[in-house]
Amino acid sequence: MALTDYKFWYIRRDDDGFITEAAVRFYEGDHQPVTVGGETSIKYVRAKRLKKNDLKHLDDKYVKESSGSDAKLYTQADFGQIKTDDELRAFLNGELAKDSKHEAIEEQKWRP
Amino acid sequence: MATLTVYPDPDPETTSVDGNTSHVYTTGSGVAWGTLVAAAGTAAVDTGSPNNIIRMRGDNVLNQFVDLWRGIFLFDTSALGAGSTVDSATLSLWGTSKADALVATPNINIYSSAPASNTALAAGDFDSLGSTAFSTAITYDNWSVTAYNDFALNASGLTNISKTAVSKFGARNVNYDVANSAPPWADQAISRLNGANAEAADTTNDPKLVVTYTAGAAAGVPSSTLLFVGA
Repeated sequence: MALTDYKFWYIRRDDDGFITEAAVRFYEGDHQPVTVGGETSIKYVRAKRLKKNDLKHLDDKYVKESSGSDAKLYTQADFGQIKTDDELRAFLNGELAKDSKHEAIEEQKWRP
Repeated sequence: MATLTVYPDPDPETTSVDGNTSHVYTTGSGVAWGTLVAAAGTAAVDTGSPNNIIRMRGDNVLNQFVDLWRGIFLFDTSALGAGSTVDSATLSLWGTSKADALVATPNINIYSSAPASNTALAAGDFDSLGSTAFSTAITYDNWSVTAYNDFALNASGLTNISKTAVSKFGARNVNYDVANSAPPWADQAISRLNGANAEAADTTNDPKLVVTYTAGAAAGVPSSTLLFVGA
């Protein structure tokens, strides 16, 4: 099964520091040998960015990047009242776990 | 005040690349420092992590140098919205390692960049970086290799933030590259500051731009969440 992960585009916070929106990019990849500075190791390498059609298991809320690409949009209606990136990551790890066609990378596995 | 924290996207990029560009000569074919500073570029990396953000290397010929590296970091800041006001901003780079075999104590600061593409770096982007400092330089000694290195942007840096498109920044060594002043020479010795880029797994070490802003009339509300009610 191919691997998947997410990256933030942006995190928006209000005057009190609560996260109000997060725009997220999802990817598909696999473990591959990567050589850096003459040393080769096995690392996660992204192959493609997942699009709306690949993310039908999530709700249909998106926001356009300036390039026209669609980033998945989450709001407080999704993750509740949170302030920290770690709380957001815990929520998004759960979103990643909804994907039945991909396995989350180790760093983003959902741990309830 | 409200903040927007923005990140580059990793390879395969769709909007905003990050990585480095360099001009590299083979050992024994080095040039005077000023020639290297004014060079056009021979290589670019936008897929690996961690990267040399800045680097310089001596040749095996006295007072000649064989490479110079510069970092490039793009952020899609269009989520600010045209009507917003940028109040302050900090660009942060997670340091991963450093070395100073030239005994040059190279420092680093943030500048403009203008790569030909927003989604891939090319060798020719090497000479696209500006020379107006956007922050206070961070010294070699103060470059953290276990945490974010924060560059609070000055007025020039703030005006470099686009509210409707991609904001383009770069990182250069200040005391030798921007100053166009030759560093101490040592045989094939390297001085460098390394950092993480957006390629890394997880989201904890990525380059980031935190913008404190005041929303405009309709800014801060993505079009996808606006509710339109017919008359």
